[in-house]
Amino acid sequence: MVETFEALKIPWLMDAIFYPYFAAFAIIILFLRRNEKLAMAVSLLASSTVLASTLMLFTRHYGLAAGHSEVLPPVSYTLKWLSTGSATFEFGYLVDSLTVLMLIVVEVVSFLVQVYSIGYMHGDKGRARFYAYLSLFSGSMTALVISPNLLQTYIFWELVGLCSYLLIGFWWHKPEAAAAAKKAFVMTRFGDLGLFLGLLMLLYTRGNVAFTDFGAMGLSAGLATCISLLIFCGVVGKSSQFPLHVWLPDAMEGPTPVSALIHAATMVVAGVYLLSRSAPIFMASQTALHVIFLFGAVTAFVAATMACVQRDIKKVWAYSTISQLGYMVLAFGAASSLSSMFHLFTHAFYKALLFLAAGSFIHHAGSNDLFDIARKGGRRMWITFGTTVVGALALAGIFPFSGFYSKDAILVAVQAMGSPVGYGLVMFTGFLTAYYSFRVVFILCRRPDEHSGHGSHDSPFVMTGPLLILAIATCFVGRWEHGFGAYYLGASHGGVHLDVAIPASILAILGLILAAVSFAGGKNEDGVVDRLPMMEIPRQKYYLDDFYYWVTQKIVLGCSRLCAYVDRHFVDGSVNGVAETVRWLGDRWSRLQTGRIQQYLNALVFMVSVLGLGIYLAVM
Amino acid sequence: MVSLTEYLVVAALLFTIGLLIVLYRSNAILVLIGIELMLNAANINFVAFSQALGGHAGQVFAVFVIVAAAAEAAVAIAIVVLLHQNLGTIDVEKARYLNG
Repeated sequence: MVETFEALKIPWLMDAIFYPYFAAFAIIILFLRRNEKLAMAVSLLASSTVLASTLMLFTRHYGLAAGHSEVLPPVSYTLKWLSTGSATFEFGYLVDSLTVLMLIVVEVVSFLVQVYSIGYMHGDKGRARFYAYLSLFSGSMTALVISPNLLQTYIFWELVGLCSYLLIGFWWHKPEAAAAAKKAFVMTRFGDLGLFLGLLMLLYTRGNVAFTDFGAMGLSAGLATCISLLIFCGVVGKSSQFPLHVWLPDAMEGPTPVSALIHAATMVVAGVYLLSRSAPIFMASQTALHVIFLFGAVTAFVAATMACVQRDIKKVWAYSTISQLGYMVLAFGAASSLSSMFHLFTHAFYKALLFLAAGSFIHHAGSNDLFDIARKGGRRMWITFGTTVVGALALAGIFPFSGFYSKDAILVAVQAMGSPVGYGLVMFTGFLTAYYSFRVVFILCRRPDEHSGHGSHDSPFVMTGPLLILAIATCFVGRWEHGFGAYYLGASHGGVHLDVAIPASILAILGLILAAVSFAGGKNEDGVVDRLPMMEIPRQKYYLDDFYYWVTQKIVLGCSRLCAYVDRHFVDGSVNGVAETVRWLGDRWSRLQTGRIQQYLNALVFMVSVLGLGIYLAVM
Repeated sequence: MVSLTEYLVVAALLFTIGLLIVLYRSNAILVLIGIELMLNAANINFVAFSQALGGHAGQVFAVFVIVAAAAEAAVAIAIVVLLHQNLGTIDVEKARYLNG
C-alpha cells in the first residue's frame, strides 16, 4: 500500500496541502499588512493550491479505493518529534478515506469563502489581517484533519480555537464582538480541559496516542468509558453541544464569511470529526455512546426550538447549526459513524450556502433582521434568494436535496438503536427544522416596501458565484450516498429506507405548511408558534445565559471575593504582622541605646560583677 | 615591711574611686582622671605582684601601662577639646548623639 501511495505521489500532495496556508499567513503577517490586494492574492493562491491538491488527492485515493473491495487501510507519514522514556510523539500526516472526505469539506468551503470575502469585505480597512487570519485558520484546520495522533490534533484544535477568537473579534471596536470572542474562547476552553485530561489519561495508561493504534488498545470497559467521555467533553465545547452551546449564537458577531467557514462548516464539526476519528475507543463503550446520543438529541431539539423564535437571520442559522451538530453527534451515539460523517459532509455545503446567502442579504440590506431584509427587497435578489431556498430545502430534509439523504441515514441508525423516545424526538426535531427554515424563506419572500429605493440588483458575482457552486453541491451531493458509504466503510450502505423516509418527509412538509400558514403574505411578525406561551422558554435561551451569568456573578465572583478577603486580611495580614512586630521590637530595643555612655558602663560593671560573683560562688 | 594584701587593698580602693568617678561624674576631665586612677591601681597591682612573686615582668608591664596611659591621655584630651568646640561644654551627659 505504501509503495502504491508513493507511486501516486500522495506524500507530495500532502505537503502541498499542509504548507501553503501557513506560508500565506506568515507572508501576509510579516510583509503585506499594508498591501491588501496582494494579501488577498497570496491567500487565494494558497487556497487554490490546497484545493487543487485536495481534489487530486481525492481522485487518486478514490481511484485506488475503487479498485479494492475493502476500505483502504490508513497510511501515515510521520517524523519522530519528541521521545521520552514512556512515550513517543510523532508529527505528520495520516491518509485514509475519512481524512480525504474531511479535507474536501474544509478546502472547498475555505476556498469559496475566501472568494466570497473579496466581495463581502470590500472596503473594510482590515482586509489584510482578515485574510491572514483566514489562512491561519484554514491551515490549522487542515493540519487538524490530517494529524495522525491525538496530541497533534490537540495542538491544532487549540489553534483553530484561537483563530475563531481572532475572527469573531475581528471588528474588535464593537464591544459585543469583543465580548462574544471572549465568550467563545472561554466556553470552548471548558470542554478542551476534558479533552486534555482524556489525552493525558490515554498517554498515562497506554503511552500511545496514534489514531491508527486506537483499534488495538485493548482498553477495559471502564477506562474506555472514562477516556471517551473526557474526549467527548472537548467535542461538547468545540461542536457547541448543550449545555456549552451558548457561545455559538454570540459568535455571529463576527463577519458572515467567518460564520460560514468556522462556525458552520469546518471548525464546529471538528468535534464530530474527532468522534469518528477516535471511533474505536468510543465503540468499546456502550455507556459512552448512550451519553453521546443523549447529548446530541437534547442539543438537536433544544437548538431547533430556539431557532424557531429568532428574528436575526444569522442567529436562526446559528441555532440551526447547533441543532444539526446535535444530529451528527446523536448519529455517532447511535453507533453510526457513517451517517454522522455523511451528514457532516452534506451539512457543510448547505449550511455554508445559507450563511453566505445570509451575508449577501445583510450586505445588501445593512441589517440582520429578517423582516428588515424582506422590507428592503430580499426577494428581488433572486440568486441569493433562490440559493437560500435550495439550502432551506436541504436543511428541511426535502427529497431530493442532500439533507434528505443524510437525515434518512441518521434516522435509520436511530431506529436501529431501538429507543422509541429518541426516535420520536429526532423525528419531531425534523419537523421543527422544516418549520424554522421555511419560516425564514417565507418571511424573506414578502413584498418589499414600495419606497425601498435599492432596486433589484443582487450582490456582485464574487459573492453569488460561490452561492451557485454550493447550491449545485447541495442539489447533488445527496445522490452520492452509496459512493460515500463504499469509500468510507468499504461496504455499500445507504439507499432510501421508505419506512423512515415517508414519515420524515410528511413531518417536513407539515413543518413547511405550518411556516407557510404563519408567515406567507401579510405583515404579521409572529406566527402561531410564536404565540404559544411555552415559546417564551426558547426565546429566553432556556435561561442558560442567565444561569451562567448568575454562576459567574454570584458563585465565581463570591468565591473570588472570599479569596481576596482571605488574601488581603490573612495572608497579607500575617506578612505585614511579622514586619510590624519586628519594627515594634526594634523600636523598643533601640530605647536601650540612650547614648549615655555612663549608663552603658554602669550596665557593664553590673554585668561583670554579677558574672564575677557567679564564678566566685561556683568555684567556692 | 608592707604586705601584699595591703598593696592590694590600696589598689582596690584606688580602682573603686576611679570607677566611681568615671561612672558618676559628668565632667569629661574628671572622667579622664578617673580612668588614670584605675590605670594606676592596676599598676600598683602589677608592681606588688612583681615584688611578691619575684621577677621583673610586672614592673615592665607597669612601664608599658604608663606609656599607654600617656598616649590615651593625649587622644582623650583632643577628644575633650573637640567636644568643647562642638557642644560648648565638656559635660559627657550632653554628648549623647548615638542614642537609638
